[in-house]
Amino acid sequence: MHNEEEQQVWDNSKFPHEVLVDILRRVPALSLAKFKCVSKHWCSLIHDPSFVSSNLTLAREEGMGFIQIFDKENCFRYYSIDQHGLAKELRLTNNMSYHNSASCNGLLCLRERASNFLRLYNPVTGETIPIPVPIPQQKRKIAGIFNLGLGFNPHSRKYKVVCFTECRPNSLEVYTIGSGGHNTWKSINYPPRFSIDHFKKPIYANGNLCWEWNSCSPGLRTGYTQLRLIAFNLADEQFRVIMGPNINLRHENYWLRELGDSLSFVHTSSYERQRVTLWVLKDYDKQVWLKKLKFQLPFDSKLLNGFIAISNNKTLIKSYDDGCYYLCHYDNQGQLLEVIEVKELAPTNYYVGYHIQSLISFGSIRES
Amino acid sequence: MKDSFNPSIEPPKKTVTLVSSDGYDFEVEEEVALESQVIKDGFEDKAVDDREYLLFNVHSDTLELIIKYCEKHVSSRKSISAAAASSSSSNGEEALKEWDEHFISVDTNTLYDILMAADYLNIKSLLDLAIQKVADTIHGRSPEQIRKKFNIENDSIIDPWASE
Repeated sequence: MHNEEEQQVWDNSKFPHEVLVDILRRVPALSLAKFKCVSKHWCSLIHDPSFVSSNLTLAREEGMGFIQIFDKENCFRYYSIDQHGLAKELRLTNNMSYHNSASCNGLLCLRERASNFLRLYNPVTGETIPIPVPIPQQKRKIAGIFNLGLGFNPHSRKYKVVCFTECRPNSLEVYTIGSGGHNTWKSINYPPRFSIDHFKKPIYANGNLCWEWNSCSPGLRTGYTQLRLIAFNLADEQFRVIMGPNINLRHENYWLRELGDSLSFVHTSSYERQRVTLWVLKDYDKQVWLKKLKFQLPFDSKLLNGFIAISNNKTLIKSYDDGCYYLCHYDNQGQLLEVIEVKELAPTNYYVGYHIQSLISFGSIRES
Repeated sequence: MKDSFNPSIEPPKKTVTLVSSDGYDFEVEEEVALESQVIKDGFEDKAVDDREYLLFNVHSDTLELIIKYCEKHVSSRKSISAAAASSSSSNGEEALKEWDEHFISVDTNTLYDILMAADYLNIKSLLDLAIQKVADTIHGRSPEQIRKKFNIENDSIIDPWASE
């Protein structure tokens, strides 16, 4: 490997500062975490909060992140997938075993197995902080907490952890990270008519955590079923009902995902099973959905088991047929450019999600 | 309208002269030179018969590449908008992307020269292309390799736990 290329040296001193910053912000966070020890100058540059957030924004657009897999042994594993479809596992720095996880801005909220201990974790930097348990310790019941959610309030720039517990059926427990020592969980009630499936993971997008309305019962005569969502706004801590696009979901496959900064809704048509349509929720208050993309899959959507939008131009699809994952690249007009099989990714799993890489440090969360 | 499709009737193109740091003259079409924001900014101030630019920081080898890039982009833009006007389908943007990819696949010294020249001349699309290429190149390297490449002295106080 020591060819001529390796020996060519650049004059760092002449490098304009803005150019260096622009180069580094395009590098995935995992590499940047290693580059901190290149020099003091690079370290301070990479630590800078505005640099961290600009790197995160780009990571979201470009889809620089990990595929998060919950495998048979109940462990979370992280894989980065390169453009050639080769998956590489990220080895976590500690060997804790987790039961549950929520992801937002590159941070994870994890529940340790065999206990209800929660912690916030950044797998890129290895940083971790504990979060107090939402239900009294004496209960000691492992199944006491249902699925966790993690979200970011862009107004106060604070992160919030939410979960449902067994003790309080019609309320959501909310914990704000970094709001001082007297910090506790608080319960926020919601109307009992809101049918939220406590076992489903909420999706974070745009300052809201969203659950699907559980009982999508069709209209008696019409047989028409429209998507309904319940959104919890992290800024005002209010619940809202959001109607989905005007589509009958009765015979359709559909998925809800976070895409970039927005909540996206993907569905395949029952008549043309290779056609995928992707919608994005543009406005929470006015409930405006934008049809963003339509594209044709190279295979029958009946074979689809999972659909993960990675970036505006990439998506990962799992097929029922062979259990394999396929990475689809398409352009902004929805023209499919290429489909490649993902290699070295374990085909058996229970949950697959998408997690962005970021350099966000807990120091900055506490201070802000 | 008909004339524009006949190149022989077009008026002679206006040109400007770019002079490289090692003293070579390059005569290029005005619209090609205007790809550089720096040249564009200075363009209005100059007298018509004095359109010569001394580029003290750009060597002739690099300048040749830069001109090639700008010519390609000017002509591609024209053909893309022509295709859009006649609503005929074209994969012009895709083809240009491929051309860019090929163009920037150069050895690291040339990449460095292109990067510095694009910054100096302020050619945004080329600067973006070069910056992305450098980012792709350094991604996955070890800190030691990075120090070597950028000629950085190791003054780090961080425990290199992550350097493997």
